[in-house]
Amino acid sequence: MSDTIEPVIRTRGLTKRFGRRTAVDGLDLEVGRGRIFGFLGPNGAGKSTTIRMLLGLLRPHGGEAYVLGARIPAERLRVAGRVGALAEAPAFYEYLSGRRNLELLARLSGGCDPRRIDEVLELVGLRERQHDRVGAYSHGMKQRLGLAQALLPKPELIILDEPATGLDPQGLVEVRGLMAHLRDAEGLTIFLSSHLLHEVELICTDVAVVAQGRVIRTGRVDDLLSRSTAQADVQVDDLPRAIQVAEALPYVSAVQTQDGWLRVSLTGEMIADLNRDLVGAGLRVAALSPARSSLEEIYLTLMAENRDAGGAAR
Amino acid sequence: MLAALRVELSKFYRHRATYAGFLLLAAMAGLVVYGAAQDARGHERRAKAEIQASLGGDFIVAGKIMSAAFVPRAILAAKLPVFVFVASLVAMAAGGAIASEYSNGTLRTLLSRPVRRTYVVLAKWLVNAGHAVSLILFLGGVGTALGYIFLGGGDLVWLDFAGGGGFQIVPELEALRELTYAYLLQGLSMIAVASIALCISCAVGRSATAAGITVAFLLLSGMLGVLPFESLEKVHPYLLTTHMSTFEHVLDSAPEWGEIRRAVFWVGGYAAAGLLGAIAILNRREIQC
Repeated sequence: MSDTIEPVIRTRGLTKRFGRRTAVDGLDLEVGRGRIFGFLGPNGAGKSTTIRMLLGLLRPHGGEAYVLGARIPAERLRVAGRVGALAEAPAFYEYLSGRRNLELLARLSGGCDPRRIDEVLELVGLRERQHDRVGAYSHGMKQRLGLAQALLPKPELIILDEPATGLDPQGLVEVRGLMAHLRDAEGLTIFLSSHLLHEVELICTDVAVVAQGRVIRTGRVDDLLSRSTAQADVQVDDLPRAIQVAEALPYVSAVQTQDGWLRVSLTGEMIADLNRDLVGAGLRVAALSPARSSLEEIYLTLMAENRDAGGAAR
Repeated sequence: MLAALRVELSKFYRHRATYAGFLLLAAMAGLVVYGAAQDARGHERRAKAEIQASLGGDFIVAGKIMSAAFVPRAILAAKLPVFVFVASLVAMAAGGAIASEYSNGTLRTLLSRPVRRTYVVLAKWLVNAGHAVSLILFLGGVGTALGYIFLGGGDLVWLDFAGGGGFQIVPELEALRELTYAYLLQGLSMIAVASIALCISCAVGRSATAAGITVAFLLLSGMLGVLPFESLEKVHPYLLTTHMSTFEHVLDSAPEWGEIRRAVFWVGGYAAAGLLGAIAILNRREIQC
């Protein structure tokens, strides 16, 4: 799969206000073709508003947004047939069957082969219940139907707002597999917002973290994880003394204890030095293993830093 | 555009609630026929006496007074069935066209597809306009059919002594033709009501609000039309209800066609303004729900 050649989504200074509140504040984003892009942020950070602007449902007050090269909202119709979307909670005509809903939406996209409807229903695991009224579906089933309608037009890009909401653990695994399949087999670009950071870490190739309508960190998931603070979990014979020694070391930024282990945060790749200095201080090191921050830890750190920066600015 | 229309038709006529209005109107027409059939003898006696009195007592009035055509004529004359019942049903359906889709989120799904908002409004307008006309024609049709079953055929004998119109005897076929015109013209009125409701539906977030505002608008218009104040008379020629009432005059023995044409122009203008307003509002609307 090719890396970023031409951005599938590009925003520059995208801004949206609701009254006096600025929901999206000069947002800059770039999503490369064939990537699975996670859009993370706390409630009210402007994720859904951004997605709605990308879909042409809301008009920006400033900046610009391009989807598949078309300026949004002015040229939305030119590319809308190549974009599948699930904006927030899936909404369907509850008195109609799942299949009938898909047929109607397909008709609005210029129609589609009934076999394609079978195909997407199969992909999301709703084939057996396709003729049931949507009103009788569980939330998770509606979510699957939402994914099915997003995939219906064989899109190049799918934009999903919280696609994992309401799915059971089995469903989460299936959706994760489905996304990987869509990217690898069909070359789809997937842009998704989610609160499930573990899922994002497993699925996404890239992320952008937003807070108060601004991107505070963006990049490849691998890069973010590798650039995060290096940590080491250490098992020693004398824990209180080990804490004293570790805290005095110049390359140690934090020391915590957890279940009889010492978690040491390092300012660089200094694990060998740490081992040498602990042993040099007369401690018996029984085990030492490198540890990495998870995306969740990185996210929480970023949020805390953003809060502190906001507080300092005030 | 055709795709949007087919989608709207499919959604509209697969919804059970769509048929509730037709059932209600059938029940109402049934009630009118039941009342007419029960009171037929008494009504005929009174009618013959009134006709004889109006002719100076020199004539013997014989024959059938109450016939099938009496039912749709009575429904129109009563005003309430059309101006309140049918108008409310039309307002509820068209008022929910956009607002209910907005509140339950399906508008978001719909507008994420490659479809112009203008086409969505036009498709909904066509479906609701068709529904409005079909409701009014259904009311007249069911009334006439039930009238034939329970009252039988015959010329239309219509008394309007209270309104100073005397009495009118219209041959059966001519009466049915005139009634068809009158119902079709009221169909135009209902299209105007649907357009206004659709326009409001594009601006609000709940279907009940859109329907409520539309009905309130009609009631206000009707009230302004009957308030006996000279200062308010200036607005009468511009009120929708003024022109809706004019359509009944197509049943007069000598209809004033100029007045009826003017009413068609005004009611058509209301319908067009509602539709254009709906298109303008939805095209500017932010889909937040």
